[in-house]
Amino acid sequence: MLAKIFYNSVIGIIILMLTVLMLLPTPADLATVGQQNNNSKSLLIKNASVFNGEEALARQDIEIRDGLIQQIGSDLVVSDAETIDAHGKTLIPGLIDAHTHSFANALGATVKFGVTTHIDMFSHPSILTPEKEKRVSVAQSSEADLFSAGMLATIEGGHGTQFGIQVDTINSPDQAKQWVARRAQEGSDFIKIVYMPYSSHFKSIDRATAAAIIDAAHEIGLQALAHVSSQRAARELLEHDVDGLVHIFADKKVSDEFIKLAQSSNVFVIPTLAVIASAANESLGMRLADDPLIKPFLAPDQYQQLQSGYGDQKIPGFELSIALHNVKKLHQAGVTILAGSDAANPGTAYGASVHQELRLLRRAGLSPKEALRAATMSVADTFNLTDRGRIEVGMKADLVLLNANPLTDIIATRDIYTIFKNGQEIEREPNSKQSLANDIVDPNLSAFEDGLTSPSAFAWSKTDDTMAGGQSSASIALGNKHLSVNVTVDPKFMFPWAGAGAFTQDAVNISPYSRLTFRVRGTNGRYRVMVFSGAQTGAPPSQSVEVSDTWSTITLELENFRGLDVGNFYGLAIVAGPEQGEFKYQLDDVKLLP
Amino acid sequence: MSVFANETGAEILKAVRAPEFIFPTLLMPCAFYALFAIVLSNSGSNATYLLATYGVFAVMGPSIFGFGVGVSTERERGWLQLKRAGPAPAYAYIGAKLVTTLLFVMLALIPVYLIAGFAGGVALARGTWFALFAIHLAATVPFVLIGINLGFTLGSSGAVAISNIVFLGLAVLGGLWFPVFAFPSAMQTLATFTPSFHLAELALAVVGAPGERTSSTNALTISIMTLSLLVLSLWTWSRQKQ
Repeated sequence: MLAKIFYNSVIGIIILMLTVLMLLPTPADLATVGQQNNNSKSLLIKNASVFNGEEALARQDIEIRDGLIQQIGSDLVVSDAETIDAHGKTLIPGLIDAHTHSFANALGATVKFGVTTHIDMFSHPSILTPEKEKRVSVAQSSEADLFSAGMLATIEGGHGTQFGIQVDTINSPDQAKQWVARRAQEGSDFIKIVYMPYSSHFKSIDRATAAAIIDAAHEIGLQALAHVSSQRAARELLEHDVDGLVHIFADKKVSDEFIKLAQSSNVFVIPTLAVIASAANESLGMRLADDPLIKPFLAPDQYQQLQSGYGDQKIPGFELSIALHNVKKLHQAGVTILAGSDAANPGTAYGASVHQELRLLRRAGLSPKEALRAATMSVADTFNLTDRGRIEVGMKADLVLLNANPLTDIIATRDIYTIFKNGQEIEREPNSKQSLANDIVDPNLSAFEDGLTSPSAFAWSKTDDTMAGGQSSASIALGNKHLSVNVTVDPKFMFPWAGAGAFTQDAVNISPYSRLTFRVRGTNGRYRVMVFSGAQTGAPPSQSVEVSDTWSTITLELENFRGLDVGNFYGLAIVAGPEQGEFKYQLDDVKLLP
Repeated sequence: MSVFANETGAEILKAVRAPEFIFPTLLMPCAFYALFAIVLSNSGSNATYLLATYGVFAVMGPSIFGFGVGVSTERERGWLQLKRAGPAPAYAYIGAKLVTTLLFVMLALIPVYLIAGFAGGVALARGTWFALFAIHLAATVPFVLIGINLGFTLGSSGAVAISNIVFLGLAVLGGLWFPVFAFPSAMQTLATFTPSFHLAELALAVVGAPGERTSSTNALTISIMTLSLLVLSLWTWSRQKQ
C-alpha cells in the first residue's frame, strides 16, 4: 500500500510538473497574440507623390495590409479597402534616426515625429532582447523599433561611464575578444567604441585596445562604430578599419589625407550636427522647440531639453562651421553620410531633432534627396535593415505622409499629415496646455535669519556633482544672518558644480515675477545660477555671474534662463564651477522681483 | 527498492496526514510572489527577476523544514534509534525523505510558475523554463543538507526556532525577497556567503535578468558550499551512531 502511494505520487507530481512546464507561455505565444490583433483589412493611399527612399515617383497608389506594403502602382483597385486621398501630398519611408540614446519614453515620443526606427548607440543591454522581438513583429505598435549597440566600449572612468548606467569597461587589448563576445551574447546589433585619447576631460582606451575590439567585432561579423571627437583619433581608427564614425569631428578642418583615407576605407559618418550645434551654443534647439509644426507634439520634458541645451556655455572643441565644412568635404568625396540626432543629449529631442539634422545636412551641401536618403535607404543599407527604409512591396509599412514635398524644401518633413507604424496610423494629438502650479506665496527664497527654510517652503541644502558621478564637494552653514558655503570643484565630471540650492516639494508658479536677485560675496571668480522647473531631466538652465570678495547685489532676468518653465518652478542653485578649485562664499536675500 | 518505496510512501502519507506542517511551506512562496511581483509592483517589470529568486525561496521551505524539524523530532522521540535497529538501511531513511522533499519542492514551484506565466506576463523560451526548473530543483540539495545538519545537532524545539532563523536569514540576505543591489554594501558582502545568493544568481542568469554576474564563480561557490555541507552532515550522522 505504501509503495503504491509512493509510485502514484512520484508519477503524478512529475507529470503535473512537466505539464505545467510545457504550458507556460513563451515569447512566441505572446507574438502570436500580437499578430492576431493585427487588422487584415487593406488601406489604400491614393495618388501620392512618393519618395521611395532612393528616388521620387509621381502619383502612386500604395496598398497596406497586415503591417506590410502589399502593392505599389497606378490606379490600384482593392475591394473593401479604406482609402486615403493623398493628392498633393508626399509619402516617404518612416525616418530612421541613426544615432540615439533611447531612454525612458524615447520610442513613443519619437514616432510622433515620423521617426519609426532608432539606431541606438548605448543603452542598458537588458532592453536588447525585448526590442529584437518587437522589431520583427508587424503587430500594431505606437512605438519606434530599436537596433542598438547595447553596452559601449570605454575605459573605467571614460566617456559613457558618467550617466549612471553600470558599464562593462575594458582596459587592454587582451580583453577585447571576451568583451565583444559578451556583447554578442547580450544581443548587440553592432559594436560601439569610445575612443578619445586626446580629450582633456575623459580617460580613454588606448589605440591597441580600440584596434583589438574592431578586429574582434569583425571576426564575428559585427560592425564596429566609433565615437571620436578629434580628426587625429578618427584617422587612427580608420587605419584600423573602423566601419563608421558616430560623430563628425569638429576640432579641425578635415585634411585631404583624411578624405583619401575615408574614401579608400569605405567608412560611413553619422555627423550628429544637431548636438554639435547645441554644444557650440548655437541655440538651434530653441528655434526648433518653438517651430509651430514641432512644438505641439513635444512632451514637456523634451521641449525644455531643446530650450535649455548645454546652458549658456560653449563647449571647447565644437565648432558648427568646422563640422559643416567637414561633412561637406566628405560628402563631396562620396563618403556615406547618415542622419543621426544623438537625442536625448542637451539641445536635442527624440524625433524632432531628426528634422533639424536633415536641415543641417542640407546646409552641409546635401541635396534634399540626399538628405532624405541619409535618414531612410542609406541607414537601412548601412545597417543591413532589409525590412525598412524603402517604400517597396514586402517592406514594413512604416510611412510618413507629408503635406508638402520635402524634395523641394527639406523643411517639409516637419509638415506631417499622418504617420503609419506597422501599417496603422499613429494617434498624433497636439498636447493640451500645461497646467500651472499654485502661485508662490512669498517671493523671498531665503530667510537666513532663522533657519534654512524660506517663507515659501524652499529648503536650502548643499548640492554637488556627486549625484551625476562627479567628485566635487560642498558644505553649507548658517552664518550671521546669511548662508556660508564652502566648496571644492573637482574637474573629474565634464560639467562640475558644487554649491548651495533651495528646493521645494511642490512646484510653484512664479510667472508674476521676472527677475531673481541675491546678495553675494566670496572667492573671486565666475559662479553659476541654475534653475529647476517642470519636467526637466537634462542639464538645468543656467546663467553665469561674477563674484568678488565684497558684498554685491546680483539681479538676473528670468527670461534669460533658457528652458525655465515659470509655471512649474521648484528650485534654484547658486554654485561654483565649471572652473575647478576651492571656493568660499556667502549668500543672502535671495528673492524674486516683479 | 521496495524498502525504499515503502519508506517513501510512508513519508508522503505522513505529510498528507499532517498537512498543517507542510502546507505553509507550499503556500508562503506563491503568496509572497503574488504580492511582491504582481500586486505591489506598479510596472510588472519585476515579475521575471522575482520569479528566479522566489523560486529559490520556494525550494528552501520544504528542504530546510522537512529535514531540520522532521529529523530532530524523530531523533528526540527515539524513532531514529528504532529505525537504525530495524531492517531498513540508512539510505532508505534519508532517501525517502529526500524524494518526498523533491516532490514537495515541485508542488511549491508549480503555483509560483503558474502565477508568473499567467498573471505576471513572464514569457520564457521553453528551454529556459526547463533550465530554470533544473536550477530550482538542484537548489534542493544544499538546503536539504543544511536541514540535515540542523536536525542532527539540535533538539526539536531548538530546531524549529533555529530553522526559522536560518530560513528567513538565507531568504533575506540571499536577495530572494529584495534584490541584493538594493542592500547597503556591507550586506551585499554578507550575501556572498549564503548559498541562496549564489543559487539566485544562477537562476537570474538563466532567465537573462539585467545586471552583470559571473555564473562560473556562482556555480563553483555553490558546489564548494554543497560539498562542505555534505562532509559536515556525514560527520553529524556518524555522531548519531555513537
